[in-house]
Amino acid sequence: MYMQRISLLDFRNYSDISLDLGPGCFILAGDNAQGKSNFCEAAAMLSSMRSFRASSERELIRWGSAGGFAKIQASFQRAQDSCGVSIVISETKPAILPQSAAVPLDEQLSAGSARKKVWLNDAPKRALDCVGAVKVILFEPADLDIVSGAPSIRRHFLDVTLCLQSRKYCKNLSQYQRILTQRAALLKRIREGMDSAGSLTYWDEQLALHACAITAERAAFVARCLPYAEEFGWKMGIAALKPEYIPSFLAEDTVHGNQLFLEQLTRLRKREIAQGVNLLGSHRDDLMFLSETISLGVYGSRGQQRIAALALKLAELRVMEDIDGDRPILALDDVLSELDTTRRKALLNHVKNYTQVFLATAEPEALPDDFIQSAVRLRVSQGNIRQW
Amino acid sequence: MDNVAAPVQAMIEEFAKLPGIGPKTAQRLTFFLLRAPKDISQRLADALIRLKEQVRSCSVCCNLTETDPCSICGNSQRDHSVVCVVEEPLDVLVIEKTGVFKGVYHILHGALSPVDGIGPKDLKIDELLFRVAKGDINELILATNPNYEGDYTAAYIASAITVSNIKMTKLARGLPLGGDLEYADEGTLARALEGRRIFDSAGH
Ligand SMILES: [Zn+2]
Repeated sequence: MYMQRISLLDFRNYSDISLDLGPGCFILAGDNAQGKSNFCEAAAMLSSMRSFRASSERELIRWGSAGGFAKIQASFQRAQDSCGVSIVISETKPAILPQSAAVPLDEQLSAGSARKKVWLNDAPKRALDCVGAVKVILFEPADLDIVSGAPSIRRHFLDVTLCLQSRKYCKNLSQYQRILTQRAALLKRIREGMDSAGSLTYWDEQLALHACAITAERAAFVARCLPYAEEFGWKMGIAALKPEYIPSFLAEDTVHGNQLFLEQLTRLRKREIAQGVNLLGSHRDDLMFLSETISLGVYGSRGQQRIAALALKLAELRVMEDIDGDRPILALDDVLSELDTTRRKALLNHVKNYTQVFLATAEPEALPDDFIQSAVRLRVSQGNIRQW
Repeated sequence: MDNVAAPVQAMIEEFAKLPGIGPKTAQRLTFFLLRAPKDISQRLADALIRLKEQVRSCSVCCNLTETDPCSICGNSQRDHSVVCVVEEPLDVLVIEKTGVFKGVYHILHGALSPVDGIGPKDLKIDELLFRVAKGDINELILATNPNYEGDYTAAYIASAITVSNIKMTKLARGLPLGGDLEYADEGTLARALEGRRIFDSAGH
């Protein structure tokens, strides 16, 4: 699939731009803080319906915008049809409310928040129903953390990816969060003698059911990524690159898995109550990146970690393509600067035949001439985008 | 708000404690009462006093009532061997509207929710177990809300009931998961009441 046209209105530092696009590679060249990442953020938002970096969606509205709202609008050509997606983020309340005991806490917390409205082919929809209607895979500098950061970052990556792919997973995951919250509270209550340990039975079963399903889905996805990641690893000079899902519990299959899970849970009973914490489940799983048998998260160089993270994202794109029969759009934000010339060429060769690629870089002169000639060259400067 | 008379300020603060009422609405209500004829305030004040003084808990089903036992528990035409267990008094109104249920009720006044600090002792569960222990009940319909807290409450009650000759059924079919009984439409609820299924909890 590819984006045919995009318009940004009062989004971040873009006051009003429209771009006609199409299949192929697009180089977004520009100095830092000119709007390259903002463009990539908008493209990714059209796919996931949320910003990967805004702590509050209110940040997305351009400072000083007259209308008090930001709008992202784009049309896409998919394998079978075309599709239009629009997102409007508007201010709901002034950012500062007088702090007072008389103001209920929820009103205080929602002060300065934003409202998001979404349209799919001009029909208003819930954001959740538009997730994954079009698919944009974004790789940006902070994605290095998928390999080198905390396990929660890796789980989060898998959750976001699988939510893009399946509504069922998304629902399962939100129920799982609810179960974890209630069960942790119950463990603490049991520790304080306010509830009996027998009360755990219900939550144990719910936990087993959801944890086994979530872990199985994540592991299956990582297994599908493996051949693609490995292939890319060889091209980029990492031997036998292998992403491997590490469940925190034993589960052979979902039928017997539940029983096995409950047995492991029983063995942890005393510790769980003493600590008041859920010690078993998908929220304690991890994802490991191996080269041969060496963990890149622990022993890899920064360069190797970046390549491993990139390999996973590119594999994600291929797995989605296998499932949907349509290749997602790829956006690479500032990934070239940390690669040497050989690897830079290998990466560009790998992605140059993708349906649509956005390549944001501060050093376009470092790109090979033939690549520059074959791509659409765009210059990003102070919230404007022009051809060069 | 230093320039506002103390009684006005006090009224605004009291209104703002009510669920769903923010500071703006609290102000609007207060100034409405200030400007309205005095008997509107008088009737409101009387109703508030009567609410707490004359409404009590039914000693059988724990519903809110003026008479004890309540009109449903005191009705000999109803089937006292079938008890429908619900979370809130409002749920009784909803089920009564369907007109298909001829049994009686038990009102828990909430659902178990560890994260909100609501345990068995905070609900009318002991009262229910007491009713069951007396031995006049043949069937319990667990009609808690179809969400995790409601399900957990039903499972807890099912495991706490040790007498074996009671049929326990659960309202499930047709009700949207994650919803409140209060918002289910009458047709759906009537079908659910007729198609209730035997409760299979871990304890049984
Ligand atoms: Zn009663």
